[in-house]
Amino acid sequence: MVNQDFSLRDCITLDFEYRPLEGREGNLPEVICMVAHEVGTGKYHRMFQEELYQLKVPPFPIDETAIIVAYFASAEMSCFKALGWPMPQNVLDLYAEFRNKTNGLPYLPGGRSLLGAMKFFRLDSIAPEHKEEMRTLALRGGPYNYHERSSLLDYCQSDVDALLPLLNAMLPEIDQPRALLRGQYNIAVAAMENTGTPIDIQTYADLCQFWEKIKGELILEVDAAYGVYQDGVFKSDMFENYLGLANIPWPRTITGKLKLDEDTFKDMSKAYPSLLPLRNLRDCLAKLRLNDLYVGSDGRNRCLLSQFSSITGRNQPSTTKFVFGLSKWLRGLIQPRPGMAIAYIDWSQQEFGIAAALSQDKNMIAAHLSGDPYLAFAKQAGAVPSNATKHSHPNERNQYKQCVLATQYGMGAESLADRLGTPELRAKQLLDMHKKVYKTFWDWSDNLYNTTVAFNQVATLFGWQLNVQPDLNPRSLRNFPMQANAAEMLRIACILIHEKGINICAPVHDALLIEAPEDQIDGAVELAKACMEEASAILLNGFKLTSDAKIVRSPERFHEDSGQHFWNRVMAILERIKSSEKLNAGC
Amino acid sequence: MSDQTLNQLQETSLVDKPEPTAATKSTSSILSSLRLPDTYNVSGGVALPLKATYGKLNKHRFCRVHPSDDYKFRCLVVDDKDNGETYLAAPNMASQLGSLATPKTIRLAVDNAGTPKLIGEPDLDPSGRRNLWQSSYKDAIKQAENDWVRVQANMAAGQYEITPSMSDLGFPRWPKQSMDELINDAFAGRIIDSPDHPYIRQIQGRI
Repeated sequence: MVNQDFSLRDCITLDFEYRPLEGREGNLPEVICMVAHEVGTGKYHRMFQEELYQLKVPPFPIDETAIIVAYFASAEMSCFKALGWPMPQNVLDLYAEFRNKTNGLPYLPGGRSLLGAMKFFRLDSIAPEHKEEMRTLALRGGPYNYHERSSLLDYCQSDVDALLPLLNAMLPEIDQPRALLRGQYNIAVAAMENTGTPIDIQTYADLCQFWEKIKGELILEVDAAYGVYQDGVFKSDMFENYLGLANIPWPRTITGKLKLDEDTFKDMSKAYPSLLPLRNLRDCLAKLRLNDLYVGSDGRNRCLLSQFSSITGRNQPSTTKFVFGLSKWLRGLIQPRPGMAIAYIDWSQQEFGIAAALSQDKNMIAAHLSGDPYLAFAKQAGAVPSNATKHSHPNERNQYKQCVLATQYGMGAESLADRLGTPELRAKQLLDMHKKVYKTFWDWSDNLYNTTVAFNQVATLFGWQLNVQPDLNPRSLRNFPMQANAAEMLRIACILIHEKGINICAPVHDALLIEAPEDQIDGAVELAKACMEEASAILLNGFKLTSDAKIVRSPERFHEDSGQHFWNRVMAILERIKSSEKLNAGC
Repeated sequence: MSDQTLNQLQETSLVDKPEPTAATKSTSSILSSLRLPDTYNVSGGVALPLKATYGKLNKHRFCRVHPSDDYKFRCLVVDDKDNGETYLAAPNMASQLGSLATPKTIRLAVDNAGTPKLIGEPDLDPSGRRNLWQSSYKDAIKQAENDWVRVQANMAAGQYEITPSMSDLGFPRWPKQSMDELINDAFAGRIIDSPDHPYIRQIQGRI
């Protein structure tokens, strides 16, 4: 990656047309055609798939002298990978730069697509209808006749030709070295999208086939403890009766009705774990669309990771196509292949550590370095003795933990009280204590808030910026440096880990799932953890964050603690249904 | 999903090394140089210090009272209970105000949320009569010079009840203003320094 400014003459604009192999979502890409334009020489490369698959390297330079320019470059990098080409040294993704320039703006006239970016800069572009027609043709797959081939190449070239005026318009404002870093991340994204997450495809197929029957059984089984469903429908008056009998105070709307949204159930099931099965049931009845999950014919979940899509610059993959977007209990579908292992690696107390490092709050740094910031906070607040442990004072630790998390999520006293199952006053006391113990952090946060609203802009240490609108929630704004720098840290870590040759299956919020042969997984985990530590040190000027890893070896499944019980329950129902189907078939 | 599809499972290569990059220059070696200067600490404005109000110690919060003589101010205080106002009176107004003016020492207090307050410490009754309200309040102030205390009226006992904090609430966050500045802010527009002040005119029946 070059670490200097570049000019238009160094650029090669590029676009591929491709489709998933066999037209099945979740499969690896099949390249159909490519057009590349060397801006310096004016030379075009127009090539169809049979020609492209013959090449071992691209027909244009990809060394440090060249900048590959694309829009949503991870797609192009996936095609490089599908063709077996070496990755380019420099990538400039105009999508990432357009997102960065417009992040936070309330309205974009044409959205975030290439056409939208062209419209934003008032540049001419092709008609959206023609684009749709050509995408359909590409997705159909070959064989293509002469006319279709030249139409696809012409269409591909129209996108390539659109890139040059767009680049011209954007280049003066592009923060070049950091733009290339964002470009580099597209290579790691392509690798992750290519690797995908291993899924137990047989169980997935069974769940899809029998889901309607499972749902009915689930309601009967789970609802036996609550009595809140009638003819398969959740009844709020019955739920109110249950709450009265169980003596659970439940938040209400301003009109006095029970709040039944997902977040309320999430908070309340943390305060009252007996509600967790009901929450899981509601969750999967309301939004589970199993058939939408993208699973390739090789049993791997692959979908767009949608890098830079969230306001903090995080990946934002589809919640229905991405296995980690589904309810947590469904992570039981994730299972390494025989001989393989996967590892889930998560930074320890990442946001707390970032907040400590950025604000230089001595108490916060000490709490982070203690290894258990929640207990350390309770000690710093004088709520527990200095020799307390998480076993000797679990309740106090939990309260102070929830308080720390509440400040990270921008939660107020009311929500914290709901989560803790305590009066609001107790939540206020805890939040006041956070402000007192971590006064330097709060002074820093106040200052940051004032600076941000003065300039209407805030950015990360690697240049991901946010245009601050007047209606932005002040708590979100205060939290932006922690969240968005965490996203930067993950991007840097992905680049470093990918360079070490470790296969990353997926980024999961601020964690990573990696994969390696069973006998190599321990080494891969150590290497990945070292990369994650290095990423934190690069971002935080030497302040290192450690990470924890959970290794899952074949044939174990990847389970979240809170989801395993529900998974087991669904599997038991599935087995019963399958047995009864077999019996019926036998009759 | 059909059985046919299930039978067609293809394993992708999971252990392949990533494709070689065209150049070998290490990304990590230049990443650090891309870090921007930390501008989060650029001053975005500093909140002005809170102004003190005059009143009694907060019965809901633990408080401290500044022990220094720099934060003691002897004066006359007039409580206009009808209108809910408290005035500070100049010494030469004593003859005009009579018993309506009470000699007090204004003290600086702060609660554990850092909110400053000016309170009036009463003089002991010069007649020597025992007044439990006054003496218990003075006791509370004395104790609050060193400890966090919460002070609440106990009507049945006819005195203030003093509750020291069971936890160490740390150092009090004293305001940075001088006592003069605090008093000027707290009593702005409520200083009786002339016989023509509306309050004196009112008690003397002058229009």
